[in-house]
Amino acid sequence: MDTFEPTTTTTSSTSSSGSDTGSTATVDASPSPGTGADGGSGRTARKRPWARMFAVLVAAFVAAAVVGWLGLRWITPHPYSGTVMQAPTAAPSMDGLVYSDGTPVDIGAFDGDLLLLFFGYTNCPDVCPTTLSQVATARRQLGGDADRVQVLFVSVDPERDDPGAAGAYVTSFDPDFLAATGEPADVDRVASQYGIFFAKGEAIGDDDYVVDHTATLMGIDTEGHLRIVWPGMLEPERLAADLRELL
Amino acid sequence: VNRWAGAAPALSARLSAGLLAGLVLVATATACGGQDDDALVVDEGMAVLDAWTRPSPPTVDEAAIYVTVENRDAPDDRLIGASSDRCVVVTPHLTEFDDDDVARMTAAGGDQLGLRAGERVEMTPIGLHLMCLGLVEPFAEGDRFDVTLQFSERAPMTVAVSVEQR
Repeated sequence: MDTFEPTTTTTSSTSSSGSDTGSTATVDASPSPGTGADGGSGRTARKRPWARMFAVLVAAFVAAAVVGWLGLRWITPHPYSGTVMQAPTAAPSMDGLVYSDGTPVDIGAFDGDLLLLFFGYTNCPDVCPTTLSQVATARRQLGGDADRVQVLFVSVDPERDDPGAAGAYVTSFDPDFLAATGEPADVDRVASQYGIFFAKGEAIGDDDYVVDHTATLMGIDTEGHLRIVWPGMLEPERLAADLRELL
Repeated sequence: VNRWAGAAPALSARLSAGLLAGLVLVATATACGGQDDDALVVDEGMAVLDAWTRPSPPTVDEAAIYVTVENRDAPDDRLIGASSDRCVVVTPHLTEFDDDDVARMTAAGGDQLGLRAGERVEMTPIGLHLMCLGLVEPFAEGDRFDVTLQFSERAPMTVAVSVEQR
């Protein structure tokens, strides 16, 4: 979280130097039309050169503004919507968890791609579908780069979600999404290593229950480091902007 | 000098024609939008402004339905529940994040669903919702189905919920 502090300072110093450039351009431009007016003894004859000089000045000013704006954008760090880890650590292993087709999860196999991790459960009516829809939308917005963003949903409700059911669930949001779960002990261990809390919450009817769970989206960068965490509710556009930056 | 002589009146005529056209457009837009007709149902001062749910994944038997109800000029009231042929039970719920980003879901009631005159109950993802338990069949994109809202004072209101990706 503290990563943002120095970043903000850099931003403000660069933007102030940027606006200096802007004001210099304004000072240059203002006396010039005056010079044109001084030499204007025969008004009709000199009309065209005067207009041309004005047009050139306007064009120069616009060009300076555009270059300044582009330059500012280029040197200003991307304002991440997620919380960027100050010291990214290697993503913990997921030994014991299996994908919906039964193959074991090897977290190292994602190196080179960006991996988005979300822990939830399929009978989650509000948070999980909302988050997965947002991630699916953001991923679509990446166009050709979408292939380099993998999404893995880990069910923390293995009693009700077998790996196959978890897989059928996530692919309804995006056919490329992956799902995994495992024995309760393995799910417990993996969740705690990723800092995910979950517990059975309010009972509904006879044997139904909700699961309270940490509903953040985690980003593991192309080098396998846990790099960024997004809060539960996020605009797909902002998520897509972060993903583009991380790729 | 002559070159510019005719320009000003021609230009001003064209400008005023453009302005007039613009004004007509703005006036039409104002007349069509911004009225009360954005409600799905209005009955005796109670309006349902929105009712939707997402397509439900094939394996689940629970879903969240989001409605927005506004008490425009009805007596003070409160939403107390809902029902639908598509769900075994419908109950108002609230999802909230605690300080550790843990999403917790609890039954909603009381003031959370209060509809005093002028008040609105707005249900949105990751917040207030109607929890549909025991889905009879999955919600498919483009489906429409009825949900009946129950109030503590007034008669129930039925509204068509649209299944859409938002």
